[in-house]
Amino acid sequence: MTAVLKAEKLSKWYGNILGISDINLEIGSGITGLLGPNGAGKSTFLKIAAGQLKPKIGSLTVFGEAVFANHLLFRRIGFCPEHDSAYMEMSGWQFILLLARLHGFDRKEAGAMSEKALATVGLLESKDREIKGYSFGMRQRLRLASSILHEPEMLMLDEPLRGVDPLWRIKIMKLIKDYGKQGRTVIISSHILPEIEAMTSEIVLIHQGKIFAKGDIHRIRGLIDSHPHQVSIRCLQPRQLAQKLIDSDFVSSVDFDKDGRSLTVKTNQRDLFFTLLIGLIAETGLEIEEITSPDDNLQAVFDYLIGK
Amino acid sequence: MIKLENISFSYGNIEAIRNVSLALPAGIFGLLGPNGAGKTTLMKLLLGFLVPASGRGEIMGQALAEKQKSLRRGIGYMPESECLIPGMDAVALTAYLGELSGMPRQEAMKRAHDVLYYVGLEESRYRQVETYSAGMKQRLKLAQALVHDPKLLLLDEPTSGMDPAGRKEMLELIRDIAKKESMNIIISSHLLPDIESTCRQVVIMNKGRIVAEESIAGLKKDNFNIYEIKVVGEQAPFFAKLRSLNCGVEEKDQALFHILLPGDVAPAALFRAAHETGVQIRHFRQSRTSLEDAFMDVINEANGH
Amino acid sequence: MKQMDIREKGYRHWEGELKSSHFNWLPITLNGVKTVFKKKYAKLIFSLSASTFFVFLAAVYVSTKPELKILSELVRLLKSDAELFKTFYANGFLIFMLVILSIFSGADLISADLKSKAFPLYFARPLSRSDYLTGKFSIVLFYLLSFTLVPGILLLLFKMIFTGSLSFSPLLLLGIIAFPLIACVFLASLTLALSILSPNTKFIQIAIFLVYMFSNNLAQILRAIFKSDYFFLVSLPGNIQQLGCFVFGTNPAYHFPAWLSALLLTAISALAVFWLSWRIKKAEAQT
Repeated sequence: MTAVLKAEKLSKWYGNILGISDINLEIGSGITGLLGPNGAGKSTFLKIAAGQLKPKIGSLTVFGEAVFANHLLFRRIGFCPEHDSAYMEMSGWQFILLLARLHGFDRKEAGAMSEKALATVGLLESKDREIKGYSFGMRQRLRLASSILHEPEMLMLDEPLRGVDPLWRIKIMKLIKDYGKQGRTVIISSHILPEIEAMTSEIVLIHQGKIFAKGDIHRIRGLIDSHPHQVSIRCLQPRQLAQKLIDSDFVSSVDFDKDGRSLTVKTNQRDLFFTLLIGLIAETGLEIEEITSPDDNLQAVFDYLIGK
Repeated sequence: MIKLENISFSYGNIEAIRNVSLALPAGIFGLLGPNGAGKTTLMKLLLGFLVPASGRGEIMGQALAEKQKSLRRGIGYMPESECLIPGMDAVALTAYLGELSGMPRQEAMKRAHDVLYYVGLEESRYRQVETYSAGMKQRLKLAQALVHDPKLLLLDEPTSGMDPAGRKEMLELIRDIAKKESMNIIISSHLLPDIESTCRQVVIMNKGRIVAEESIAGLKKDNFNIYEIKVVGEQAPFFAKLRSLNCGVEEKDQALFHILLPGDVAPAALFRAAHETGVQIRHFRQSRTSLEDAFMDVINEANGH
Repeated sequence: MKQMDIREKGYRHWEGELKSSHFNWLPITLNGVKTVFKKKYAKLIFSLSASTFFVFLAAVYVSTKPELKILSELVRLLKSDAELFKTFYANGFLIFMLVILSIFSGADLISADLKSKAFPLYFARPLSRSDYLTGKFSIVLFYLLSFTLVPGILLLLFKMIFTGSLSFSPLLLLGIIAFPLIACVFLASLTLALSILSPNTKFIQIAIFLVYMFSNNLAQILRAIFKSDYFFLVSLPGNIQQLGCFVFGTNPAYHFPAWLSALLLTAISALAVFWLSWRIKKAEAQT
């Protein structure tokens, strides 16, 4: 993977307040989710990556160059910040057009790109209304439009879907997924774990200013040894299945659910367990309705790592 | 519990709500809809911030727009916006608002403590509220909505701005409150997973009208004979084997596949095929429409697509 | 053995009953009064505002003891009761302190709510618009009256004690009560009306002070140009002084009928209240 973004020994603090500490990270093309509790350092990291803040110690390079105040590089980077930052008396169209011109596009091109960006986020009908009359979700979409306007190679989004209604949420997630498929680099910071899960399985988890985990969600889950994997199986004869499973060494516990139709197995050897399970089902012909891994999701990974 | 008949309201020339009629029994409901559908307007009408241009309504037996004060006594509102009364600590603020709802001072104080414990702010309840983090402010908003023990809770984006841990706890709190009999809750939210994890019934609005009022289970239809699976191992021989059995294989996303089984093939065949080709099926479930898909369907239908 | 009851976990209902009353705005006032009291410089401002009272108290005492020579000019001025009270109430320093008190206790009342967007929290309560305004109004009124009406009554009482006579004219008592009421209601409504204009409290504080200063300066300039005292109807302190003359029947400080000032102040108060009520209605709908 050629790294698009590279951070080495990156640290930043504000007076006594810690932002991030000793971050070493490489992010390549595709979609990467940036997670962490409030105050963990996500916004600080994104602002440094977008060239808005200067690193205190260490470096952060994008496309091989240091990014702080590097205005030539800004052409290739798009940043959608978390907070409101538009001129309220302008109309949506005027604002986006202004930004397009500031990027250096000539009048005709700027007009075309602005129209395209606004159409993509569904603000074309309201383009002539003043921004102060926009609802919260519309302003969020406007911010998004401003970041994709110049079709950047790298896109950084801080809570891009906040306040956006379900219809547009789906469309924007699709847009982001398409960006990823086109080989661009997208870094999304969000609190809403189901959103991240729907878009990517590559994550970076930041907590207390440091990186707690990095990589594919499922691989990370596999590495968390302290918590045995849970597998939940719903079938017509749970106790029969349980009997057959209990004999194996690698099944650490079996719990029956209240509904009497499912059991949850805990195992430290997921691989061996599944081979055994599939074999058992194939041989005995037990009717299985469902097999799921309740804690192989982002919320569980998050909980285990942040430590409850 | 809530009865609305032909309620309409416009902001100047813009019709926000048109001929809305609703009959909600007791329970917990989700209020969904795209931006501009009228959800916020509806909530404001229920609270009496706005007066309907036409139509009648009743909340818990009291007439809308007439018995404002007495209605509000029984309603607790958790606004979406960042709202605070600065210069007070959480206990003072909660007790103050409780007093304004009609509680005697000492009762308000006692109840404020109780409610702050309940929402998880016990350790910071003596701190000035301006110093609170986003998640704490959300909890405080819930606390002030609960202090006077309302019969109807209106929650507007209850998890907005909270981190995943906070969101989980907030949703747990809401589920816990919903368990109490004689508590009615209406949640307005953009986040379908939030609604799904707390409500069983939803009201969907679009363009100022109500387009659906049903249970979540009713909205989601089961698609028979399509199974979603995730496999680990050599996929190609496994899928080839399935195709030889006349099964369709579709890649969805994030390593998720949909297997379309013809009517005469039992799911057991999947497992046999997996065992034979040495592949592990780690996720197996009958494919269900998600709430998202159901929501899109309802809105598209209402828009005439 | 009796089984011990375990306290239920989870959400609990409250067993009490919510009361409605005509005074359900009282918590707003009590809370606001406490907040103002705890502010920085509170004691300084209060002492300055009370200082006029103490000076006049001393003068009243001295006037009953002709042997004492101090404060003799002041004592000479205060020959009659009406003159005494008019000078006490309508002196420039007290008016100035009243404006400071209004700014101190009132400028942030509504503008802080605007800034921190407290309206949704207030209006979701069984609180009508007039309840909210009454509550806030009473905060300013409380402080303003404490330094006008209360000292006024006390001054009368002490005068009666020092002179040893219990006689006073009922008209005087009426004046002692009427003046603070009109003047303080005026100042309170003006303050609140300005406070609702902006979430920026500093801006409101400056605005109120400017109204006070600018109106007086403007009046003086206009009078100098056009040579007519009627221009003092523009001046805030001027009107209050005229009000004092009107209420206590003393010679008007400026050459125009004193009742005009009383009328003007009352009219502005009424307008301010209507304006406030309309703006709050708008704010409630936009919550």
